[in-house]
Amino acid sequence: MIFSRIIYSSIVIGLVAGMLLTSLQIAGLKPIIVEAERFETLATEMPAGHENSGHSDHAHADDFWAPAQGLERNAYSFLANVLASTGFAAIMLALMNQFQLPRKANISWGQGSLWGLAGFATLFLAPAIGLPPEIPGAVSAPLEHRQLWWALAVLSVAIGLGIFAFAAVRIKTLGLLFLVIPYIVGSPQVDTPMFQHADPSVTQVLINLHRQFVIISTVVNLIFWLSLGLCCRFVFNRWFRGLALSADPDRS
Amino acid sequence: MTTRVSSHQALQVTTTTSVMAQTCAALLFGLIILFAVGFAPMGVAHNAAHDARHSLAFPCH
Repeated sequence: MIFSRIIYSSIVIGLVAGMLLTSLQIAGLKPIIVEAERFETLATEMPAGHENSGHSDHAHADDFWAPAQGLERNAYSFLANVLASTGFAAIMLALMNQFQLPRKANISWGQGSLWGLAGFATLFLAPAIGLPPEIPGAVSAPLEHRQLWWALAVLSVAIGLGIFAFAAVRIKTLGLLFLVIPYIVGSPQVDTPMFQHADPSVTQVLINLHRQFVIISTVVNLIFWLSLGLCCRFVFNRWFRGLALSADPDRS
Repeated sequence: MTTRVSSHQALQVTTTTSVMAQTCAALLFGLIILFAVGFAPMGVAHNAAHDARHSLAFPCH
């Protein structure tokens, strides 16, 4: 049964990819997030009247339970990364089975890498072009607007790339339309600068931290998605491709 | 001969439909998990998955 195989396989891939993502995150990204949070805390401690006018405060989340710093925070990040990786793997394996199973052929290393790059382009690059990865304390448009545009960008670029890869040649140009729709619509933006602190030197520190975060998160996500594509390729060739052959009546 | 061909066609149609239903169900499973990790509005979910949301460039706060 394909469904249960996808679920079990995606959990295993989720554990492996989630472990990789957590290691890269703790080494490269978490120090920047923690550093930005330090300035964010200072900003929220400032007297009234000095607060940012944009949607940047973290106060709404401070009323709820949060993991303690250190091991507990890393453990919850690991759990979240494993769950996210499981979700990504389930989606990729479902699409691989839908589009590659009828071809009854193994997925090559190159094709596996392309699946990974497509995931990176769809779920990281496409939304990041309009809404760059953010560090805590950044001023940005209301969360609901950004989430809606994020979903539009991901869905539209996924359909566009899918058309390019698998549709008939005569409708491939339609794929181009889907690739540009999110940017024609435009991502939600605010008029104020992303960082505004009473002390200009702190603002500069935050701008530098953000620049570092964008570069490192791009590299981390590229490594993560390539690994996910190659893991899914391995699992597909080993546990799924045979299903197409066994269900083929011409072989019986 | 006619019977044999039609039974093959029926099997192929059933298989294709079944594969599509199962891959759609798996796709839905993945989307629900991603919604919970990346989009769930509850403060507790946000705080637990905070670093993952930032690292994967999901919109956060």
